[in-house]
Amino acid sequence: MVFRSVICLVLLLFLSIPFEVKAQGQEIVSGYQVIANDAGITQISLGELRNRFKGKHASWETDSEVLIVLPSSKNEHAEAISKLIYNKSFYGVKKFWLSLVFQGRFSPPHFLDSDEEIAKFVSNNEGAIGLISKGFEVSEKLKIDLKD
Amino acid sequence: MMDRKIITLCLLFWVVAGNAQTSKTRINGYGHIDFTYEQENGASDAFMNIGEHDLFITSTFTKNISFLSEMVVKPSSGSSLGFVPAIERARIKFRYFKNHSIIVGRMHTPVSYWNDVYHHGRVFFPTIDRPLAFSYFTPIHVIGLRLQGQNLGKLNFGYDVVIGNTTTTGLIFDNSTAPSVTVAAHIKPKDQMRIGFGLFHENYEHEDLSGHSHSHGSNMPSEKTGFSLINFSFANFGEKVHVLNEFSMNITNTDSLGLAENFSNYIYLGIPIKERFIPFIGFDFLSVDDSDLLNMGQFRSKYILGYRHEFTPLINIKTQVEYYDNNISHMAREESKLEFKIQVAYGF
Repeated sequence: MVFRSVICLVLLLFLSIPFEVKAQGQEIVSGYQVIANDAGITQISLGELRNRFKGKHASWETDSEVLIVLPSSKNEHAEAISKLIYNKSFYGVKKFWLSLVFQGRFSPPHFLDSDEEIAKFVSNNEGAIGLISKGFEVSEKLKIDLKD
Repeated sequence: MMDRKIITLCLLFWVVAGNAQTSKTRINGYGHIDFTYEQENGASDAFMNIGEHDLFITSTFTKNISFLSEMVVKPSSGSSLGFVPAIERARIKFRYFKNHSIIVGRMHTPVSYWNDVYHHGRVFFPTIDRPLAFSYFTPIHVIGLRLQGQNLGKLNFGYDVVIGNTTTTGLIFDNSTAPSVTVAAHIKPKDQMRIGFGLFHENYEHEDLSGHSHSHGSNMPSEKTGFSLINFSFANFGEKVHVLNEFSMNITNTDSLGLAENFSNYIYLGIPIKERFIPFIGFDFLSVDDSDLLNMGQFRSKYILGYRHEFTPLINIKTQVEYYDNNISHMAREESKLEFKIQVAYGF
């Protein structure tokens, strides 16, 4: 009886898995540029970029620790970048990171208020990666091209 | 005396962690306040409690070495102050290759999703209480050595192997028995989903198990007891539906009573409305064999109806109506209980 109940519960779980929600940020990716310091790459695909921002890799090929830089709630790009990278609201991104850090699985990201602060942080910290507005002036050596 | 030592140690950790590398040390806090109204056998009671308050510290020593601790002050009826301090987690992590690490210290056993993810942070809990298994089977804390890998391959495979001791003595080779072994693995096929299993084994004899689970059973087994746990976890916290299922099978073995097979299953189903407002239901049961020496024969079930209101990611309020139906066969007693609970959980 117990065994049958457990099987039913497991089946119920798999039936409740929602269908994947397609990312809706593709069209706004052209508004941003990727910057990183000592990442050892000059190009990155959108899929790989998302993986990096989700903490799926602890280090770069250069062995630098991945330092994630995200717009804070005061940053006008917070919602757009949250949708583009995480397919979540900024609220969802904060929850995602609070949980991951509490589990001890990744270092906390750095939430910064403006393009200027993000660019400055990335240029001063090896392994840092961030997204800033496309028109914002930044050193060529920090720029990472987004592959199609 | 012991309390004072722990407080001194906590302060020492705080000072060391704070001075080691100020820019990379972060201190957060978590806590909760609970209200309970219960009706049992025609009598009713109401309680209001200050729950566990948790100082959470992370620090990065180098790009590969980091520290994490959870120092908790929690309610205790045995203390004259009503609270006792405890180091729930204190661990040093060395990332030796890409996503592979060695962790040493006191930590939560990664045997189940809940124990590996939520720890003592009530603000992260989907329901007010942990699954029933945490009060009977689940070995919550371990002191020892852990090998961890995460986000490997396309399915984001993760593994954990822990060798240590889950009893309060903290001895690796306690009373000449072998150390505990935990082996756990999971995959994350989607960002919001994790499917995993965990295996745990340890032998006990005359050890104090009060730190093992948040035990309601025997804290001091009177004879050598082989204790194994198999756990299957499924978690999916998507935009439209939240599901968490924790299935546990516990096998104990003693010379006097033989083999006992015990089961437990917790299921939570939440339907988010506008992301922050989450009505949910849950069902939890626990079945212990009559031949189990630690927890003894019983069947407990719990039905949950609740609502979680998240003001921000760091403060929420949960309200729950719970109905318990218990058959404590080793005491030839049947009982049922109705509870109404409110919990405010927060972090800062």
